[in-house]
Amino acid sequence: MRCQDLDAKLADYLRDELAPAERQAVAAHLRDCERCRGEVEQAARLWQALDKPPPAPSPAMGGRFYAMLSGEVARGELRTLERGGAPAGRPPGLFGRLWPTRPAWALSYSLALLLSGVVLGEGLRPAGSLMNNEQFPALSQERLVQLCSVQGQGQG
Amino acid sequence: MRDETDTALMLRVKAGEPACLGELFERHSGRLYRYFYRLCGRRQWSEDMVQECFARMLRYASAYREDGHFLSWAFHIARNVAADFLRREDRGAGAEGEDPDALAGGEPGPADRRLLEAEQGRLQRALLRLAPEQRELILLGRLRELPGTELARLFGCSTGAVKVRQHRALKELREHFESETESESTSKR
Repeated sequence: MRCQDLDAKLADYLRDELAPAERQAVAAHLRDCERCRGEVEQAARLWQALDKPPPAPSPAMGGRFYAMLSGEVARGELRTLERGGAPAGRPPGLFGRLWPTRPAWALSYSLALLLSGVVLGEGLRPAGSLMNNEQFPALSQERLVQLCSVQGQGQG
Repeated sequence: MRDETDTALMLRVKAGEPACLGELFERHSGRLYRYFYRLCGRRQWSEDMVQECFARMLRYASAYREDGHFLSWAFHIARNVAADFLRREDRGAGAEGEDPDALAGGEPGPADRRLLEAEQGRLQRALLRLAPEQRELILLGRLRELPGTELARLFGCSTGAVKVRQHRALKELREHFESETESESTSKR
């Protein structure tokens, strides 16, 4: 192998991508040629130096990307709604547009409100309410007697 | 999502699920950042270019082919982003790499760490003295981001031509690196 033959194979040699026979030929040449040996050593140092990690990116790089992506996801949902469709994960059509984004949350919240209303209502109902079933029949009978007396006088 | 291939994820982005790009960001933003940093030597510019790269992936998702190789497509976009970014306000030619002492915060460190940082500084300056295409050839080849066939497709030439160009670029890099080492030794005397 001549020195100029090595030039063409140097990158592959550094990447360890030479065929075994070629690699042996390069190794044999390097044993005998001090100039090429020096060049290969320097090239290998550069090759390894390229592998060293550069300064790490700032945490803001990820933040900026996800801010952009969130905006794009929101724009995508808006475009879907404008076309009359339903956002991802919802039924199609008008029903889909009315369907809450978080149905479990909405249902739990509604049930909690309903329960609170019932409990509050029970607590606020006074003891002498007209709706008291025990009193209502008695009041009705008294009222009926009065009504009957009035009617009797009218017919007589 | 974590078990899906890059291509499958990108096809989902194309089909209207932009959130899938998040997983691709987690997988590949680091390598894109390293590539941009080696191209320009500046952290902020590299972060800006990563952002622009993923923004273009969203914008041009409809152009992604089903039989595409995601990294090839990503680096194709990355090359265009770098060319546009560095051309703006003439940021490319002659741009200085970040001073390794500044990166270390000016604090005294172990001797071997300072030597390493000095070497990295010389390497970065040597890289910046190369023509942009030569820099790309070396970085994409060394970082093994793409197989030889994809590199050839990216540069519009044969695999053999890529190797020849890489060899020439590497030779020039060595010359620039030696020159940087000599001028550093001269300035210290």
